[in-house]
Amino acid sequence: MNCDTYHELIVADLDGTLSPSERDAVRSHLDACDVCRNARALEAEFTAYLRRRARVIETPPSVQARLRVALAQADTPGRRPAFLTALAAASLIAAALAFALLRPTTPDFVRPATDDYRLAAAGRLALDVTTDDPRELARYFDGTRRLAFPSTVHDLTPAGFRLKGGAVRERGGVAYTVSVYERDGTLVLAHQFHADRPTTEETAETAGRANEVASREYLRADELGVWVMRDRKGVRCLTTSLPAEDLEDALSGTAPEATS
Amino acid sequence: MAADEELKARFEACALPLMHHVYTAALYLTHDRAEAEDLLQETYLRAYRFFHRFTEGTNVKAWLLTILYNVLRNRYRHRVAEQRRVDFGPVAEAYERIAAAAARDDGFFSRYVDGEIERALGSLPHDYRAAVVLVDVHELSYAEAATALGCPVGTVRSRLSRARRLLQVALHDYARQRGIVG
Repeated sequence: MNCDTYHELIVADLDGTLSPSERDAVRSHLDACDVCRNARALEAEFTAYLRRRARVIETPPSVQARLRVALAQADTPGRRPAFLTALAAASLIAAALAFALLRPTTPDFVRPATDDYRLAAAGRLALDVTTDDPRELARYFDGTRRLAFPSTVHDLTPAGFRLKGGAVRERGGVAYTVSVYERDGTLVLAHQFHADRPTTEETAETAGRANEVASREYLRADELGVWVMRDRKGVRCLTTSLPAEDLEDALSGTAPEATS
Repeated sequence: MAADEELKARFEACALPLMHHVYTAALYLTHDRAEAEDLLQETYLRAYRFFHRFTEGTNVKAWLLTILYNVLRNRYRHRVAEQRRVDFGPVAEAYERIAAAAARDDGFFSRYVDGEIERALGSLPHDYRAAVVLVDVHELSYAEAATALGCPVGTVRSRLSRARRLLQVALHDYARQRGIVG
């Protein structure tokens, strides 16, 4: 066993979930290993700290009230009127059909985004246009006539990010845009890709709300954070080395995006 | 019907007081208030519907959190699947340095500020975060957490070990960004 495995046992021991033989094995290893002794001392303190700090959060009264209303309207446990069961079965079939028909081809938007970020961070991402004006960049993007979507370029100046420029790039024969922003040496890359088909969530959630972002998710990839936003206009990714909340803070204060 | 009324009363008495736990887990797992509320509702509606199958005398909290995690997994399958592996080598090395520094220093944890633990939890890969939330925040046993997460106990153990190291490295980074530690 190496120290990596012992760390698991140390944590499990502090949580009181080791068998006697595992416990003996940990104890004798600790006698011989400084690194693991340090780790055990740190874990003992950290576990206490974590449990003290990561508290149970009170459900806001308005949320409680809505839950009680929903429960009051719910069917009796274990019993459902026959027509509801039929309705549920019908909607299940409809949902399965919709899923089969509308399942996106799951293009990998994250990989090009993080690859471009690495290039930009190494100063090797060639920009077609150097400008700090989002409108000018959007005009350039649309002017190339290579895109299957109307371009949008975010204005991140309220969050302190200055636009440096952008480029139209290609992956698998499909063109996409990348815009590069910088604040004190920290980069944010914005990508816009075309989504061929709406995803199931989009059809379910955005009927009549075409301009709203249908889904937004945060992924970690290659030590970078990527916000992926999907809406009717396509898929946009924001990629940065900043933690999720920092980027979110930065975005919450931003002005509406520019279109050409 | 009297039997229905009784079942309903029993559900309200044993499941509703645990609402804060379900809400907290949903909030930690999604980092979004609206989504957390939505998950809370769906979890309770599902729990209510299947309450007649709940085994009396077992842990209601673990049962509710298992339902929550199932709801979450069904909804965000793509998000969980798209997650990349963390390169753990550098994390393990950074952690060892932190542990060595902590051994020489008493006020080690006093440097971390309120809110950073939530931020660090948010930075964890989904599976790791779920293990910490269930075990450390909601005090589920490893076996209960394994049931909720649908994985073996050994996996819970290794996720917890990695998650705690990732958390400490993240907290240390935040402290360094604030210029508190070198």
